[in-house]
Amino acid sequence: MNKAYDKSTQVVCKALDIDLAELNDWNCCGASAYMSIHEMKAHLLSARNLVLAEKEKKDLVVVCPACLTTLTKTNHYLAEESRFKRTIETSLKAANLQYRGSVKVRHLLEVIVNEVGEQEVKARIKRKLSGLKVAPYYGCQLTRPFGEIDDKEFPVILDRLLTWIGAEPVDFPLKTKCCGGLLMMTNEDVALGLNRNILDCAKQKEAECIVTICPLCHMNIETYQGDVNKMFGTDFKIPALYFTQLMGLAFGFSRKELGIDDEMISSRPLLEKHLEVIG
Amino acid sequence: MIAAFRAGMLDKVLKSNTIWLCSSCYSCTVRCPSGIKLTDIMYELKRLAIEFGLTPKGAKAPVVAKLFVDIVNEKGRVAEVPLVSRFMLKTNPLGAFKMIPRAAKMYKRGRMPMTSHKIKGIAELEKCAGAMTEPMISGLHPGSAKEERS
Repeated sequence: MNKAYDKSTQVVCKALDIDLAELNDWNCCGASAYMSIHEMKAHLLSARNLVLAEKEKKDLVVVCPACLTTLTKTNHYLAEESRFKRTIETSLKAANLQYRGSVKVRHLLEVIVNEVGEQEVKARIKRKLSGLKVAPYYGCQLTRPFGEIDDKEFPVILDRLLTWIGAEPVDFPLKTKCCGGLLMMTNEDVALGLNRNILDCAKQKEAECIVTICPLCHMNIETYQGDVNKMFGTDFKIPALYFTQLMGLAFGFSRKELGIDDEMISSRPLLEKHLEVIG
Repeated sequence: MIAAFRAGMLDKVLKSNTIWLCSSCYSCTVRCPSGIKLTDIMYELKRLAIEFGLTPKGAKAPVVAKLFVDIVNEKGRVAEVPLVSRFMLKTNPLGAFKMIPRAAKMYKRGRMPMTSHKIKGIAELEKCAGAMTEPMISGLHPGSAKEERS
């Protein structure tokens, strides 16, 4: 995973007294690529992660919406489809593994908003992000297809969190439009077009930076801005930060601790303008 | 696509580039008033196209998907560099040079994991996959049908 997202996640969770423990020997969820080749083997990948989490008697918290959707999908099918369940159970049994269905799969954003809550988040604020206008970008798979966390197309959960830490989320109609995902590798022109729309919307809404909750969205929207500009003759220069990085800043952590300055488009001028130490 | 499919032109559908432009964002799935799981249909069509060897000529998405699967099967996890470098070698060895400046910038910023870590449970995963009785179960609809399908 992206180092900046990893670092900022660890730091923020520690500050919020969330006890994160990396799942021992986890495997890749397979994302959309594995599912395009083998259906049930793709589900088996998720099933093994669920088994491992159940063994440790823990819920699975992820910071990647693709992992969230993949794992949740398998979890749902296991609970609701008898033939599916039988097939996975038979496979797991070959390695003496068993899943009873006790694990919940959650995205960290949702845990922070619903479990930790407004009061606890606000209690840790040491710096004000005074008037920082941000575009909350959710991407596709946090809320789709299941919609368990929030509205499938116009969620507000990230907007709420951003308000708690003093930022100003702009009204952002493209908040759940697709960034193209892996298409950036395979059909670059299509993906660049999608990112142009998102960037254009952020600019029109006068957002000074884009806040992301997905490593792939972050990569596409941030590192490929130069390519978007080249292809469409635009002049976007909008920094992108992970929601955990922005939280960490509000909590008083240094840029280094949060992996800020790893970006291609520096957020330094912006943060210098807005960050204000309280008392 | 759906019209062509219903008209029985399966080969045309499977050879089309359209199915490989689906990034699985599930917009269509959540908007369909009849509850058709269109994203899952796209997955199914992708799998069928690969099974019948009908992927469109020059399409890169099936190449990436296959490499991704290879690396997961081999290591259990996937890092960016092994995936991208194998992919470039297969599809566009000269184009790899174009990517070097960005890759270098990202490497410098700690944003380019170089190797895929091999998990301990890889044999365990292989064993499970080997014991799989049904590789595909078509028409899964969570919640909508709990009974057995033939």
